[in-house]
Amino acid sequence: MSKLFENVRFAMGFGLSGGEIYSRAFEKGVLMKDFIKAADLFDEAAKRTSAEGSAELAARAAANSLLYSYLTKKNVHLLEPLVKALGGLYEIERIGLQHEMMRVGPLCAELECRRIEALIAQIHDDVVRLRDLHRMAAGKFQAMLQQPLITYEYVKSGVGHDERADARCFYHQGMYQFYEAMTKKDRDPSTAADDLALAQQAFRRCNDQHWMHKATQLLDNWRIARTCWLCHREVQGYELHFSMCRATVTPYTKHLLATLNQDASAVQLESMKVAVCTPCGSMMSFKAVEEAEKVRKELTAKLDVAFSRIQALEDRVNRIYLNQ
Amino acid sequence: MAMDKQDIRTLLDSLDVQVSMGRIDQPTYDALKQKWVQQLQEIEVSEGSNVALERAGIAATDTEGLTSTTHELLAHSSLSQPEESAHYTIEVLACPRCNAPAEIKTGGDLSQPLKCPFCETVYTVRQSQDNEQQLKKDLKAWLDQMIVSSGYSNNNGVDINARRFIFRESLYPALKKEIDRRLESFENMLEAPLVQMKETRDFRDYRPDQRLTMLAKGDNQWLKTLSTRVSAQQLQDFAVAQEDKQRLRQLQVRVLSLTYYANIARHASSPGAYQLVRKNIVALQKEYQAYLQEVADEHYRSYIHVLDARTTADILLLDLFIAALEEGQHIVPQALLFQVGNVIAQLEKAQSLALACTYNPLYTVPLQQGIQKDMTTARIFQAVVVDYEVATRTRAEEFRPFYERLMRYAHHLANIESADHLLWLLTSIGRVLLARAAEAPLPVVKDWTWLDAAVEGQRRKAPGQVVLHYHPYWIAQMNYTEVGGVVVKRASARVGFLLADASSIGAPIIVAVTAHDAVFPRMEAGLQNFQLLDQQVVSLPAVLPYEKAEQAIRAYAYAHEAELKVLATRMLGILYLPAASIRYVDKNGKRDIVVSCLKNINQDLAQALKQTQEFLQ
Repeated sequence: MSKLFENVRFAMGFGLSGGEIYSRAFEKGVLMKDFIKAADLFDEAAKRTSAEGSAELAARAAANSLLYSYLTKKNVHLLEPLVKALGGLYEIERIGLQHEMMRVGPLCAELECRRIEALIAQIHDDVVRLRDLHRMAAGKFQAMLQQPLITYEYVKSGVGHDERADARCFYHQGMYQFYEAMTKKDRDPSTAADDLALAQQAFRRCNDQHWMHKATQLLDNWRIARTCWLCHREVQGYELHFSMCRATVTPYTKHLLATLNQDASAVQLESMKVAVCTPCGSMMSFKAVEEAEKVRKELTAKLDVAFSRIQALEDRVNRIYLNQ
Repeated sequence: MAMDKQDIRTLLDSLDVQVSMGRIDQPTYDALKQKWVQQLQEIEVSEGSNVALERAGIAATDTEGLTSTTHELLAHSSLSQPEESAHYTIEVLACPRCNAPAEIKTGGDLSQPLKCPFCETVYTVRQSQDNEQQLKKDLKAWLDQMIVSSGYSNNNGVDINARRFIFRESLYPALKKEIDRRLESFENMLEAPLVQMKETRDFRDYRPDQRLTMLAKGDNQWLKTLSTRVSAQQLQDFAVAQEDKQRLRQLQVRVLSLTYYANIARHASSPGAYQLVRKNIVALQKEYQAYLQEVADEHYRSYIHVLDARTTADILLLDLFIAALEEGQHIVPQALLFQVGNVIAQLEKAQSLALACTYNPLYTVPLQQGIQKDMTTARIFQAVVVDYEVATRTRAEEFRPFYERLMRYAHHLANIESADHLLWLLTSIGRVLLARAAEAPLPVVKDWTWLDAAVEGQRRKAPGQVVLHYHPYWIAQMNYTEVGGVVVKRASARVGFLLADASSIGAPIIVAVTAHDAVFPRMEAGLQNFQLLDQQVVSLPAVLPYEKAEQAIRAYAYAHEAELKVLATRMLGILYLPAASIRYVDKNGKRDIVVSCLKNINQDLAQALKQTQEFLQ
């Protein structure tokens, strides 16, 4: 009778001690793969054990509550309190299991990385900040290169590379080099291209086809140098510091460059284009806009005069009609 | 003489400083400068105007650094060209094909063809000199262009500060950029194994990089050009500061090591080329060890240290291969085992250094992977030697015939997919041999009580010959949830087993054993009881490698999620279970059925059993 009562009490959760609630969190939550329920029960266990004065179990229950909450809600704001809660422990149950323990050190290191990744996800346009955060993340993952990832199976990063720490390290290193290149491209396209080469190398190592393709494409463009058709300066960086502009070019044009021992690649006969550096090209564009504006103003003034004359004539015609 | 020149250069620099600070007037400066420049030129003329040492680490003014062979070459060159007796041309020749430095024996006849020790190309000194001459022309043109583009008319009269400026602003960045870009395609060369076996070289990740082999075959004009530039004395004269010298040296090491790696890649897959590969690795080791003395940055130093440790271990491994696989006579297995153990210890040391290396992971991770491959090769060899040692206890056999027989047997057992798979297979064969030789017990279930019932199980057929064997299974612990209770549901964590039939690699059969199954206690006991295998019962080696077994077990657990509620699986190892091949006779003829205490077992075992019996005889 008493066993049945005990079973019913445990099943209904009446009058359970902190330790019992802790076990119940596994049996009703973790082992049933209901992590939301597990988080709630761990939270309850934390409160009860704390009240009972069992500080160690209370700390583990609180950490488990936050851990399972994070795994289900994927709320990055939980990371900070979770790391703090884990800080007081030496080991904790392996995720999804009741009797196998793991050291909290590697978990904390991984969660620290996730905090940086959460910051990265919030930033969109600040290239310098992104560069710095990716560098920081790469450094953190470098320190745990050989460790298996713990939480990524449950909370995906959203950018792939969720299986291995080295892949995450290379992804962040690639991103860091990519943004480093972005910060340098307007000052020194050559050095920026070198950074892109490193980014490409890192993306290749983590097999990130998307970013590798992007880096390769930019790298191929930024390494091209052409002599500007207008100012005759050699400029590096296609679609960055020079572009190919439409022009009427003939084999004679090409021949002329060859005869003068000048950069023949500045002319593309097939597509009828010539290389123009960004200052020359933009100067022409701005000048064209200015000229167009000037013409527009002149024409507007002339039109205004014409309109006013038409208006005057209309007035006169109207007056003539009225006088008749 | 070198000190005199240096003194004059310092004096000239000091004149620059004094005139810039107004301590001397311009006419005095001009007069003094003219005087000292003239004196400097006279010294240079007396030294010989074309002193050019074309190899890294050998300073033109430091003849003590020259090898005896180079001195010899110098003497011969001067003798063979009497009209130029006042002008010595010191050249360290390079192989016109692979670009590795030439090795000329003291007293050797330079009119005779030379053989490159690193690629075995035969060439004459004249060919090498012609090649060098062309490269020197390119070098001069490049240097002139770089100096002029820095705002100077030519090299003469460029003071120390200007030289430093030209090096930092023009020469070094241009050279580094070019080297970076060229070497970019070879960023993964360290990932490749340095030592190969005939059996490993066709595996996808062990195959040498085609681009590297092309370099070694002579498609390397750019490498020769860069090598000439980076090691030219004229360029070194511009690297005035210690820091600049170090940066230049780093470039030299990168370029020169590529030459050796290319040769290794080319010859790693050639039969009987261990000597050649060894020479290239020894050259690499020398380069790394010399460079290690010069590197100041601790992270980079740790990286070079790993490279050096790897070459040291690989040289030892090659020595073993040369002795056992190329010479292959009078092999004492115990001695060989001891030596290969040492090699593996060296490789493990290199690997632990690589794991602790704090240099950029873009470079250290490929290096770790490369060392891992070398280690796998060494372990494959170790597994062969272990098998040989056990086999020769009962029957004398030369190493090489045994090696060939063992490999044939391994290839009959399975389609070997990778070096790790080959290693696993050989290890597994070794374990069976050791357990049969009463040396190393294995976890095995020796309960045959189920056999009679199994034989009689098919009543319509008449049982014929029954051949017993021990059957390998990968066994994993399975943590699963059991939901109990009638009114109140309650979950409990239980432990069971998942077994993967290890006798084949394609779609292995998986069997789940829960805590309530009758065979569960037998499995538990089998895992606890390590026993020797019976000589009279054939034991099949495990063909299925660990990774594939784990993958199959996980896939099974995932597919049976609803039924088993698996929480976690943990691989335990190989367990040998008793099995039997029974020949039944019925009205349709004979048919072999394989049975064991488990529900499912691989039925396609006839060939494996036959091959194993033959190998063991």
